[in-house]
Amino acid sequence: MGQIILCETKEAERTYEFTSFHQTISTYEELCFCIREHFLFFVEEGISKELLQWIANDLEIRDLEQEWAKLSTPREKFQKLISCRNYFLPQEISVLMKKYDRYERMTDSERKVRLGDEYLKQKRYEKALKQYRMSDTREEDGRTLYNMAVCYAHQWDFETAKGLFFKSYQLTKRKRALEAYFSILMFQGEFASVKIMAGTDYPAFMKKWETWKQQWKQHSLEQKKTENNQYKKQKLKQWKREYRKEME
Amino acid sequence: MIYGFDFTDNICYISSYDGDETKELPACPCPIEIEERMAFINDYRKDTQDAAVITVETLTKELVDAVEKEKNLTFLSKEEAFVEYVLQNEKGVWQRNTAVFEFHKGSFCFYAAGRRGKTIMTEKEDIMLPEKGLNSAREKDKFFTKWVAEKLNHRQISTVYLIGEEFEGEWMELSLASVCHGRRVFMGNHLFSTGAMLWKAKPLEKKDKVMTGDYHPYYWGIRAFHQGKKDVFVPIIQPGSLWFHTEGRIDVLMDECEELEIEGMHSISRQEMKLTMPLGLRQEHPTRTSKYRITMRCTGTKGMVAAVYDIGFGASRKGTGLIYQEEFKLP
Repeated sequence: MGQIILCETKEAERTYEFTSFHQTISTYEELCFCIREHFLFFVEEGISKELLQWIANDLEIRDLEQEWAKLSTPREKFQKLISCRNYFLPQEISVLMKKYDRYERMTDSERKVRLGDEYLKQKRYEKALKQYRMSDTREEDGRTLYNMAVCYAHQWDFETAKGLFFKSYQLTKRKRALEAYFSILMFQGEFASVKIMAGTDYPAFMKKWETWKQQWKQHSLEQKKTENNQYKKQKLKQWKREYRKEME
Repeated sequence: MIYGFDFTDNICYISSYDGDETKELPACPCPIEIEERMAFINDYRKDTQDAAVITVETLTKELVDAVEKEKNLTFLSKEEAFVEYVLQNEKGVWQRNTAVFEFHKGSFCFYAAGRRGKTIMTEKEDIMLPEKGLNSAREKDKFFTKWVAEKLNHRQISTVYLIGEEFEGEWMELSLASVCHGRRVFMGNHLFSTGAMLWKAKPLEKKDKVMTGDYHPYYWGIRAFHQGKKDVFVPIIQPGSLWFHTEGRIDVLMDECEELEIEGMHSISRQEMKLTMPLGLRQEHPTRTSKYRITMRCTGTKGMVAAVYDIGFGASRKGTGLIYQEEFKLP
């Protein structure tokens, strides 16, 4: 059985929205969950005045606001925020603070890359690219180049993506980057180029390619189904509204 | 003027206090129906400032709610009226316990009160009269002797009150010797009405809590992470409220949970109880994003209901509502 944790604070009537990762919250527990899931945003952006006021007025955690001024460093403020009520266990707080310290020791360039990775996780490709482009070390980092290529590919800029995947492969010699490069060539209809470049690996790649194609097909079907369900729900709501109007 | 009313079957015992002295008014016949009884009381309360305290066998929510807006009308349980009477009259009595036998035509009842720490505990037991009835003085004597022995022997009871018209007459022979053995015994019919009247007229600054059967005596709670410590006892219900006002709730974060254990402890005897709720919760959402509300309330002096609700996760996810409920009896 997992740990049972007492929730001490009430649910706020007015919600708070994090614009950085588009999350709306109404409880302290949700705030802590967001800190866990989107840790880097909190470290990078700090705790805003609006969030602090919302915590004090809407969640009624007034002691935090009172002690805030006494805390001199952002680190102390962050620690206070995650430990002022029940959510994180002591060992989890210690892990988060170690993570915080690691992030603090990073260079500016490394931080940009990490933030870019976070945006990529959220499928916010333009924002991720913006962060990656600000990193000075991107040209030497095969992993960053790969992630940048993923962003470009999702934005249908296959030419740039192709180049970056190949560059990433040259730096890291990772098969994944090469396969991604081949996949873009396949999309562009350059089957012969793939066959020549892949050489003996060609059958293995084609096998994978077929599996990916199946997966994409499945994924798009499911997406259509979800959209269809949402459409049905909206239609049902509309009918209900019309019916109620008629009844009135 | 303050009146204390004790309605017993069709006889009413009344005590009054005019600001200077207390009086026990002669017993008089009274109506049975509640509305007629209220009219009967209002006949005495000529002035709007006149207050009345009415004793009842057991307090109910309906009774308390009915007089909530009436400024000078209060219902009090007989147990509390008894404690009030003893506290105001017999200051030395609390060294040991005190008991009351209440004997009317169709009923026989035993009350006891004693101090345990800073709490005055009372007990009440309705004793069944023999089906054939008590037809002779000898039968009455035998019956009373038996219950005196059962209730008073092996207990430290220093004072006994005999209340009710059935104690009148010369029938007590064996029982009188038994009841008076090492105890002070008083007879009279106005104990409850006077206790009720004194409760209003001369409120004591009580340092001690009176715990009658109408008050819930248990702490109820669970073990949870709280203020940096694991497995801290978190109370859901605290003892000391009238049973129909006793309810509590807490919100917790729970992930996988096969069964939830609710712990109970009697506030005086420290007797422990455990209630195991087979929830069978599976990990359906990310870790620590499932909130549950545990509620408990009394359904009677000896009954409780505990329930668990899925309340979702704030603005992120709506809950599914009640997932488990169990009714259980208290010892």
